[in-house]
Amino acid sequence: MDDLERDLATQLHRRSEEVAPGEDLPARIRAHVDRHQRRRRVMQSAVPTLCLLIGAATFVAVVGHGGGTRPSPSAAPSAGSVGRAPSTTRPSPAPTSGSSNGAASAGPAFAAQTPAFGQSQTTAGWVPVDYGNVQVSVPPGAVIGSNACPDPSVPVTVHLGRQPTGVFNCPLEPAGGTTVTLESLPAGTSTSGLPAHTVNGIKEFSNFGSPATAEELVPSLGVEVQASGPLASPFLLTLTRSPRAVALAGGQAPHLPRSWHRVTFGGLSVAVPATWPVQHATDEGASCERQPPWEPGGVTGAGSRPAVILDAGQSPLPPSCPAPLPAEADQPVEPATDGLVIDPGPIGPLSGAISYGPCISIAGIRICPANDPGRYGELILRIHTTGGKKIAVVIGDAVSGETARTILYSLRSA
Amino acid sequence: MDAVLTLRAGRPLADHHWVVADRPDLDALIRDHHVRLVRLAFVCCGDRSAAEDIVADAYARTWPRLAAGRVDEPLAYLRRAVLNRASSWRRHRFVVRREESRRRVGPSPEDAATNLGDHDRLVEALRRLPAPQVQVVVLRYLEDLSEAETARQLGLPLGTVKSRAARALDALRRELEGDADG
Repeated sequence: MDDLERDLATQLHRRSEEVAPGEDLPARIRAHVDRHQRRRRVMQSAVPTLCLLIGAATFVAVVGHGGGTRPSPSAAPSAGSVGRAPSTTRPSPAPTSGSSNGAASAGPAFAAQTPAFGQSQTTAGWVPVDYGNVQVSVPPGAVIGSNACPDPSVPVTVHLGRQPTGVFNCPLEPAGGTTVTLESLPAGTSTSGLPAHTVNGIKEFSNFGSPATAEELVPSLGVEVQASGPLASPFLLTLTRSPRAVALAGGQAPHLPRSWHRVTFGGLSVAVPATWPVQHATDEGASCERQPPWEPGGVTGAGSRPAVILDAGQSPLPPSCPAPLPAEADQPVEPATDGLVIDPGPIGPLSGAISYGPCISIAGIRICPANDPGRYGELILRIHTTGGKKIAVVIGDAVSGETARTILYSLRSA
Repeated sequence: MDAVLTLRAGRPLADHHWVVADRPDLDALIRDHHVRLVRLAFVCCGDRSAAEDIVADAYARTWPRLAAGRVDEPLAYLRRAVLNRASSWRRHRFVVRREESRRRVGPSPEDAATNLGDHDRLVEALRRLPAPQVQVVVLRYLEDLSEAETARQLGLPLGTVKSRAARALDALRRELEGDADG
């Protein structure tokens, strides 16, 4: 053991011993385990009920609509007009047919064929929320939940990812509001014996449910959806593929519109709509006190306009600056926007505990998409150049994934 | 707790039927291990309340399997659950911080408060490493496990543990040298 290892062990022990859990912690842990157990029992006992409900719903759908298993959007209590066309009516991208786009030599494992573009039948005015490969829609006033207990006065609280914190003293089911949780479904999760049904062309498996609570497993998109509360049912009908999933799906390369132009930066050339302004940014001076603007204004976040951001900064992003989560507040759900960031810096968007893959190859470039499902469904790519350098590319797509897919397939070495 | 899966001597085993001598007692499991697990989580995530939540959730999610007597080493199982949940917490925080950075210029009050009095540069640098490396380092140098024990704990080949530890130490060394230069 060298000096560094000794120092590390010493500091780790000293730092950990600063933590003296309160005397009541064992009792709180015990209560949490008991609550979790009670909830498990409720869920398990509800499976037969859900089977009956789904069977009845399927029967109604078959009789009422002349076949098919897709639930009717009109089943949503508040469904008015349909905001977007159903996925089955949207055209697939045109084949490349010798264009300069090239084609992917391999596609991600979750989709072997190019999916139809488009989104779910969503109640007018509902806002799409992307999480990895899945997109759902929520009514206005919905919030992205913090780690605090859900606010019962908020109509819909959406949790993105499993919530490891803030679970101690919350009621099992908040009164009033609808709570939705989207989290990754571990690969290989068994759906054996679970009732299956199809929503927006996507096969789902009902893990448990009751009239007001449901958990759907969607292995094809790698996501698990839980919803409870009065809007749980209409919410579940909005589930569809996210722009990220559409962009990364296998299949033929999309056609490159003539109106697009190419931008070259950091050893990469990429085609983007000509209407997107090109902006230069730098993350120099980044520290825990000042986050680098590698996505100035939020390239795919709230309120930003479509733009191409070329980030020449060289400072590492400090993703691990201390920031206690319990202090953060709920954030309103806001629609994503189109955009592109190219960051050849040493860390940039690639920092943090993000896993990548499966990688694809386009025009000889190895491209590894981040697996962490980020908010707004950004497509974060780690691109391996021929010189061994890693470049970060972030693509935002507010609509169907068609734009992100076209940008992705236009990537070339420069 | 060592006797959780001890087979009763002299009892014949039918195929696929394990005989469990003693089911673990939840209160004892909590009493015996919660402090070290909270400290383990705290080192990984740097937030005490989050560490307590992570540990509580690890107990809750592992308890069905533990109660069924299907776990050989409860502490190892809990430790792994804590590390996995701490990694999830880090990923979630990464996303949250990115959103915060879009909306804020300058540090949040929480950032400023947490940064005060922090002199353990190695621990802070450790938290900037990728989660798989953090897991190896905390098991090796906080839990004082050997490389072989760490590999078994994480279900990894020994070589992977060695390489992750080496990369982590290299990164920490570079970080310290960078601090010294700066």
